[in-house]
Amino acid sequence: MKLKTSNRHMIDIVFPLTLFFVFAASALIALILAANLYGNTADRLQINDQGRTVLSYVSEKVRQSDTGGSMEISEVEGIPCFTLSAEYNNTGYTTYIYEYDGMLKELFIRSNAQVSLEDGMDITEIRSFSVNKKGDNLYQFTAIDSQGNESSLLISERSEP
Amino acid sequence: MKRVSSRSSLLLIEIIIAILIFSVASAICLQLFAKSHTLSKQTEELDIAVREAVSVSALLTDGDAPEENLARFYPYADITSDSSVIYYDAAFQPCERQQSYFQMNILPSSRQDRIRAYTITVCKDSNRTTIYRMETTSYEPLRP
Repeated sequence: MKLKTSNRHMIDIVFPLTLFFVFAASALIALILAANLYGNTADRLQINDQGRTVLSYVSEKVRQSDTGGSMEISEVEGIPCFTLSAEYNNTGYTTYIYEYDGMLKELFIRSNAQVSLEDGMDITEIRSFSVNKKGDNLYQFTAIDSQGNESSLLISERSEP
Repeated sequence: MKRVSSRSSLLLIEIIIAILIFSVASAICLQLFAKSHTLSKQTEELDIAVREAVSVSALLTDGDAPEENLARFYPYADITSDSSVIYYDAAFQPCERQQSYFQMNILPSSRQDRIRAYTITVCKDSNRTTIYRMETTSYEPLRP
């Protein structure tokens, strides 16, 4: 019993404990590093997706509805809207694409009906969306996402009225 | 004495194995983090490159004077009828040749009657790595 007590040193306890704390600290650092990198990557993906979604959506809409010079820029309730006109079963319909209350919205309505921008369908969150005519058939779409990143796209109208 | 020595060596082996496992796991994790960061950056570059190429394609296909259109929107670009180069900085903003980090090369690939075809290539200026490449065709409309 005496022999056992004399052979037990302080280092026997301190060394494994120190090692445990070293491992714990290293694991914590690796975890924080991973969390930061994951957060960074997720943020980048979200920014990319937001900007890309808005401009891809508009570009697809234009390609889909580009007939007979149907593209126009109009103003409803003081908000600039990008409009696409089409005719189905001899009835005229208009698609309005605009930014309202921090959301990109789309409103598909009969051309002679009363327009209320609040009724539009939410597409995605966005800080600002604008469209400018830069030539006879050239439109520039500019989107600013919720992080403040600006991206723009030029689209030319192929059809003629 | 013999027992003490045996216990010490066992502890040392345990520590060595634990450190080895931890080092291998850390190395793998760090590699994966670095790879995910690179992939995210490449995706962002590809996304912007596609958008810029589509915009330039719209300029080339709009109207009868594509070179004039390009000069209007990209005043720092080198524009000729044989080939045009647009320079971009690291933030993908159009810039002068000296600050160039990315560049877009526009090569007219063919011109037959009223059909013009172009090859648009976006690449990194430093190592000429192609980020995105697209073909676009413009049809000059018949006017009375």
